[in-house]
Amino acid sequence: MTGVLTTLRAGDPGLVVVGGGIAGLRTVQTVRSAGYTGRVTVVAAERHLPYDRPPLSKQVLTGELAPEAPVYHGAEYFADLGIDLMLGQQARRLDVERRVLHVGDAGGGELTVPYSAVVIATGARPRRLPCAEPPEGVHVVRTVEDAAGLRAELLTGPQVAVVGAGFIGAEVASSARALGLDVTVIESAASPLARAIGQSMGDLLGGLHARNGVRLVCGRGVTGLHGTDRVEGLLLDDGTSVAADLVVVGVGVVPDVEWLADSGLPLDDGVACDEYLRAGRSEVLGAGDAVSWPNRSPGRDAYRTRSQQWTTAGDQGRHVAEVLVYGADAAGPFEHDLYFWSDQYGVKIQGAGLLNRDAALLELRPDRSRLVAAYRDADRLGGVLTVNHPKEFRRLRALAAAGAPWSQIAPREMSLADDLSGGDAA
Amino acid sequence: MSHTLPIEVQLDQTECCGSGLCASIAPTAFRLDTSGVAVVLDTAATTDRDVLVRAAKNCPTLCITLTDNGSEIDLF
Repeated sequence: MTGVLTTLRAGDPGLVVVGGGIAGLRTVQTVRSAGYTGRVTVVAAERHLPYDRPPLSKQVLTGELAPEAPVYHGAEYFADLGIDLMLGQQARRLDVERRVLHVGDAGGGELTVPYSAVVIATGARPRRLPCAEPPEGVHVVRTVEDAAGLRAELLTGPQVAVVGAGFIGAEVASSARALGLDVTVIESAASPLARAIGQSMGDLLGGLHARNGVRLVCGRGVTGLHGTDRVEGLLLDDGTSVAADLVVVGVGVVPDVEWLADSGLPLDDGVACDEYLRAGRSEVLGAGDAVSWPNRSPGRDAYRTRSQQWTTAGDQGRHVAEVLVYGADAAGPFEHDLYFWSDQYGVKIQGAGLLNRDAALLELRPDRSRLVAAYRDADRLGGVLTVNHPKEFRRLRALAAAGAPWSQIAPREMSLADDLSGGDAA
Repeated sequence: MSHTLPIEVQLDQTECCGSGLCASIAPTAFRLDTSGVAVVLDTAATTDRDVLVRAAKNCPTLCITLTDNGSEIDLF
């Protein structure tokens, strides 16, 4: 079997990748390393060369990295690979019958870009608070401009409120605290991170906030903002208020797929791709935060999901490239354990697999400076979460990927209550 | 007379995710090669210890190992 890109003739428009994030970058790198020599064009809404987004909520806010785009490679790298970059171009519409992408820039210019194959990798944008005109001082973190603006305001010494205790919210809170600021985190769910890593581990890692001098308020929604020109605080759904000169909103992301509304492509929580990441047509594929696909883990039925993990996005980019060059049969279905990491409060959290349930603790230091937790999926090891323990993480992640039986790790299980007694007294 | 041995820097390329964060933090020790995977540079040996430790701790997959005088540096 061969892929769509290997059947092209000289003069065909070639591959067009819509999106300049990690999914798009890995796509174009991989088609080249797989031997495709035809045209490649990347259309990206941001003006920057592809850059590393994860540090924006961490090292860029703390000042460890400069508040400028941490690009992976310079312009000459893309020139050497024969990749055309169309930066600052927003995708407007996809005509799948004529195989043409319509794009526009901020100045009102419009262009059409023909393609032989297209990869949709437009990613996602942060969800915002539902108010028409937010006052000054309300931030999200997605782009390098977001991070630079937030960093500049953090340096003025504000009182900070973070809406959402997910990983982004926790990293922003940790970074603000590292700068010595007064920080409150508001989470609408009863436990932080419950959907991501289950309630027991969510409560445990959520304890990092208090241990580091950050107030965590759970089970309270934000119903309004105080302040007219400049934000002065948040109004919560129990009628109380939280004073803040600076608000950071980290309440998830929305896939950027509205531009595909009239394309006829299947849309369901992003572009609904099949197991080979094809979007209803062999020459239209999707990768990254903008797509959902039927993921599979050992011994389980496939379930449609949309990953918001950097590693998944990059691996999807590689996979669509392989489908396009080698064909779907040769590339096989895309399966992923949704690996993620988080740097917060001086610890490294790593997770992979099915984590939306309670876990068994295998190791825990009371101050959370080391933690190993295993997640059970029926009679198998389904996932793993660790703090500051890369070796154990790697071992258990490989076991989970191999579908190892739960009995292989369960005997070492320890009781949460036993180990935490005394540890939380302070 | 005492002298300081350089810190030995190892990077597991099978675990490397190609974020380039090590190269951003310690540009004299690491860079991304053309395939997007990090490589250790010769000048890593003369890179400041604290900078190497920061690069290793910030690696998204913790695939960098630092060895000082025969023993692995504990990052955490």
